[in-house]
Amino acid sequence: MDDLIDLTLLERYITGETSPGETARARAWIEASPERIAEVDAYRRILNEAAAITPAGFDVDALWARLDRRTADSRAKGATTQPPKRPAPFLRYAGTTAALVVTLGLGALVGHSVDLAGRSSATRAYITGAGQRETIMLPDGTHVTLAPASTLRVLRRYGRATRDVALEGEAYFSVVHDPAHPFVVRTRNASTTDLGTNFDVRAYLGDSAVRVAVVEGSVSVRGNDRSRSGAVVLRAGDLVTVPASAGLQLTHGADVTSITAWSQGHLVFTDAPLRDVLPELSRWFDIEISAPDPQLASATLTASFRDEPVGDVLATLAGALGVQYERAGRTVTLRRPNTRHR
Amino acid sequence: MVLRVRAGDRQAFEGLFRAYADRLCQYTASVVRSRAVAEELVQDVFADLWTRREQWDVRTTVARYLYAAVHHRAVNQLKRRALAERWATAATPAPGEDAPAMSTRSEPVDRHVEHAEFRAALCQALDRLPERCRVTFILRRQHHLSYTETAAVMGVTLKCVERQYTKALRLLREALAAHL
Repeated sequence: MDDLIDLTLLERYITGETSPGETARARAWIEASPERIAEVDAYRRILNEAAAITPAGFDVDALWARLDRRTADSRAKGATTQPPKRPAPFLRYAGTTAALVVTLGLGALVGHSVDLAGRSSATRAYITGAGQRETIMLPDGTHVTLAPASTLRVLRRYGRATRDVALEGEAYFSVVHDPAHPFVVRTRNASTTDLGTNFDVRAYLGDSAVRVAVVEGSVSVRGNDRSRSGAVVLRAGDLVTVPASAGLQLTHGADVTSITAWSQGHLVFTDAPLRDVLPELSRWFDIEISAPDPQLASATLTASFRDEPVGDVLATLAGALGVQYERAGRTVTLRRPNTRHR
Repeated sequence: MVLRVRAGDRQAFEGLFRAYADRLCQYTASVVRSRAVAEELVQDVFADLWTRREQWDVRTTVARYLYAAVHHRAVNQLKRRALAERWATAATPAPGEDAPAMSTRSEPVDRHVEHAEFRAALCQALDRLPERCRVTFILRRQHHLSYTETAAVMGVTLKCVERQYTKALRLLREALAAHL
């Protein structure tokens, strides 16, 4: 390849980590010739595929059982018995490592960490693609499970006064409560503040409203348009939707188990209109699935899926709805029987 | 989390282990090319951490600290096995070691044969990269560390990481020319 452009810039362009200026520079270079477009596609394929390789998992339960036995003796001693000693070589090593780098502040390193190669550190973003789900542990021990096609930005000021994160997509939060540093999820239409709790926030761009559902504890939700809505406090089993241009709508006794089942790998639909189901399935199984027939789009579906092959999902879907489907690679079209030949 | 572990909170320690064990084992296994050795090394790091928890001082992220600790041990292990030259030069899996088991767990879509072939070719090409290149690429691309973090974990400069990463990309591109 022509060396006029830095390969690291190109790589960051491909993975979406460039600043607007860099993006423009990369685009200009790429679009100058068709070979370059093909070249970038080749690199993109390598990068995406490499990130998707998942080696076989380890048996963490068994490993913990062994470690638990092995460290059981020092457990009995408690925390106060050992006098401070000179740090062991291993710890000294870690100390030098720490001194070597500028602390960027935060972040467990799951998901896709974006910090512009260390040059800018305003936020760190965790990004899941279609078909991916990821659990992140933030430095305070808070766990966040990200649904497919979602982005969680951890703002640089995280933990200083408040613990601010910004979400697009859906995430399940299990927050380590700390009244001195409130945990706040910022989304398109609303912000949600933790009051000690497990909750789900959903704010996909295609959704008509932001939705917050509480499994345990409570949260406070405030619309971003403060002239229209004050804050409401939600408790376990409560659900609130926040449309762009209306007040908050609170529901008590919602089926929060189904709503959050996705975080355990279960996708549950209960009388859900197909127009809502299809974008969800597309995100989960990394396909483009559509139902051009408007009548079909308003049909409802009750079904649950797990991590299963997309072929099985489509077969279940077609069976439940009494429809046929055509599949060409990642594109799937649902049709009612006979409509095709009319 | 760090504070709780330092205070001797067993639950926090277990939580920390469970949150990181799989990733750290994956990474260590890709360096030492043995899953059994990787399991031992990662447990050593945590056992040591528990023993010396009062002095545990994380001035960086927990993840970076843990990756650096296992990386250090993994490289030492390689040296002890008199395989240091492998670190400096090209790599071929040692006979008798278990191959870096690559499976396609939790693949969301049943994809085409062509895709499987591409992935197999990529795994093979990755495996043949010079050691430093390979480790850099794995940390950055499969463990999602930034350049800075990768540099800190490997104990090299940022420039070196960029150079190794770019080299890895070029080599992979060349090796996979027939598939792209």
